[in-house]
Amino acid sequence: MLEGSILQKLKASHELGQGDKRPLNFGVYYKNTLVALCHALEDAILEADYSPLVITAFQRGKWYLQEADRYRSIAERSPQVVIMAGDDAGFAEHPTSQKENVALVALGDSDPVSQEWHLIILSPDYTAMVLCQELTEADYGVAGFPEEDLERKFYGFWTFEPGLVLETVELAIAHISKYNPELCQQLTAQREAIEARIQQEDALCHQPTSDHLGRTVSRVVDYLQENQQDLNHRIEPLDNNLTSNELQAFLRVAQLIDQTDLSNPMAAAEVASLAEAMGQLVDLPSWQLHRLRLAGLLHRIALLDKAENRLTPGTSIYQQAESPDMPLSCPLVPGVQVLRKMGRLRAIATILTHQTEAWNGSGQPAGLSGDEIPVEARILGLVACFQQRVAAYRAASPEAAIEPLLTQALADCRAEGSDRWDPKLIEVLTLLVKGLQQGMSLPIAMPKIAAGMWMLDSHSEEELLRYQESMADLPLI
Amino acid sequence: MDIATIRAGKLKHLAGADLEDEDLSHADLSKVNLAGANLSGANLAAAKLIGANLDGANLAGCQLTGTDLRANLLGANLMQADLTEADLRGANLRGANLMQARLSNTAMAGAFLSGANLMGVNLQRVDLRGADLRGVNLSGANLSGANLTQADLQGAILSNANLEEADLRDANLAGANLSGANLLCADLEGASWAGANWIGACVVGTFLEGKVEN
Repeated sequence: MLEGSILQKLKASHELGQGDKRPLNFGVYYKNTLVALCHALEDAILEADYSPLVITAFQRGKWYLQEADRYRSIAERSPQVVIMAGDDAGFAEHPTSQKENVALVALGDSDPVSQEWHLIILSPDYTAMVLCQELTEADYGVAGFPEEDLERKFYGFWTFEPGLVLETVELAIAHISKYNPELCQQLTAQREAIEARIQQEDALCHQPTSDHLGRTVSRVVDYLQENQQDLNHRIEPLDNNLTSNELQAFLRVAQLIDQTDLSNPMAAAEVASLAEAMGQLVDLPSWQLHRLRLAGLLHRIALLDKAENRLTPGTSIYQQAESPDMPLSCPLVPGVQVLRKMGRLRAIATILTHQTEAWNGSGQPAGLSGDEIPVEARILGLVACFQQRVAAYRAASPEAAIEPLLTQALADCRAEGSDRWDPKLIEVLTLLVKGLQQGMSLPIAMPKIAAGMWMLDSHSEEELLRYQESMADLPLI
Repeated sequence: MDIATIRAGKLKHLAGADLEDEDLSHADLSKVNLAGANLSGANLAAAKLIGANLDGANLAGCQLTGTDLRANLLGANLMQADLTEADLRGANLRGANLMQARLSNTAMAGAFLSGANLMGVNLQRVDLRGADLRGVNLSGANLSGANLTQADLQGAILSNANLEEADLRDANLAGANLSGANLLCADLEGASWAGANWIGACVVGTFLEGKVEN
């Protein structure tokens, strides 16, 4: 990793032992993937009124020139666009470069940032970034530098997390100060103004919603898939990299949902581990365990709500199930419909849709009963509810030992009985809780986000219910 | 020997049987003793072999797609077998030969593979959580995107292996040979690697990069 690069500086400030910052974990990205990903994240700017600060690094001026027409439209929706790139011929002459709110930073040849690919978008309602560095010739090893431009490899990460985007903007501004102190001052003022608005409660960037973040994720998946179709001769690693990033888009949303729920920040990882352990106890085959685990990691995406409902707290589906007379104010469909964009998650989407069914048929959204409810949905519904209760008890008495909280949460689930839950699964959960109280430990960890594909197989795109086909035709959001 | 009786799982003692090229797909052979049996070229797709004894059996070129092989495969020959989406969780594969086997989406969590020959095999994105891979020869193998969390890779030969984006959290790599391996963006959080050989390994973007001596 190049010393003095923005990626390296951000990584260094997140090394273990640097306060409570989470260490960064990187993935591999082909140029082909990065183009699609960046276009999708950029096009979100053109769709909504975000007025973001946009800072980019293009390696060479010639790469910027390929995108300069797009950047003209982006500059019309943004108070300030910064382009960092090597000073190639024609770089400054393009009409986009002439715009008042487009600032060019001509990177020196020895500047490590000239080996980086960045797209940093900062606004109160939408934050996103792609932060990557290209492999050096030596890093490519024996295979050497690829012949095809689209096969060039980068490493780094992308995210929607506002905290990381803010930090990176600060590092980028510091880097720019060496070239243009005046621009640096101006950017600092803009960053501070946006940061102040991000900290306000109504800022959407840290409130995942179906109509903002959900729409952006749909676009990411669309663009990556279009790219997959365009690969005229399927190049396996490139194709896999695109699929991996479609899945990453969802895992990153799941991660963001957890981060924004301070009372239950480990829901995805804990539910996934509990669900998988339950599945093992009922001896499900390995492919079913894998999709159960993935459904657990993504289960809160089903709850993605619209922005307007988020600002006026709606009824959660859990509350709804406890007082069935209350109308369901957050429809399940928007969140799950986003998942359906990715064909290989078809089974996962069905599992998530039916996690709120009840054993006696009184549940939502389809009133399925008994064995009609896919077993993964039955397991997931039960452990998600159980985990939420444990988290609520934990939040109420943070000093208490975990064992009595598990007992209490289990008792709550048992009290709902076979009207709500599959009685066999209640017994299995009881067994699992007993095991946990006797010292059995479950590995609780988010997956390595860049490498979640081990959970996908031919079964993850199965159609679990016949009537699902008509539901899939519902318009998105 | 009547193949229909075997398919129904009614014969429990088939040690040393010659079942070459037989169609045993979807058969239930759970707890059947097939030690030393010749099953080369047989079709065992989607068959159930839970708790079966395949000690030293010859399964070369066998069709094992979606097969439940949570069984004893000690020293078995699985060369060129198709194990796509087979279930090998917790299976005993010590000393087994898996060269040129197809292992796409094979579940191998908790499998015992010490002493197995996995040279050059494709284990891309395979679930190997907690697997026992002590001393295994994985030189030149493709383990990119594989899940190796809590795997025991002590003394494993991983020279020139592809571990790109592999999840090696809490894995034990003590004494492993990683020379020339590609660990681009692999995750080694919580892993241990005392005495490992990193000569010529690519550790760019690797979690804990800089802490491993190259």
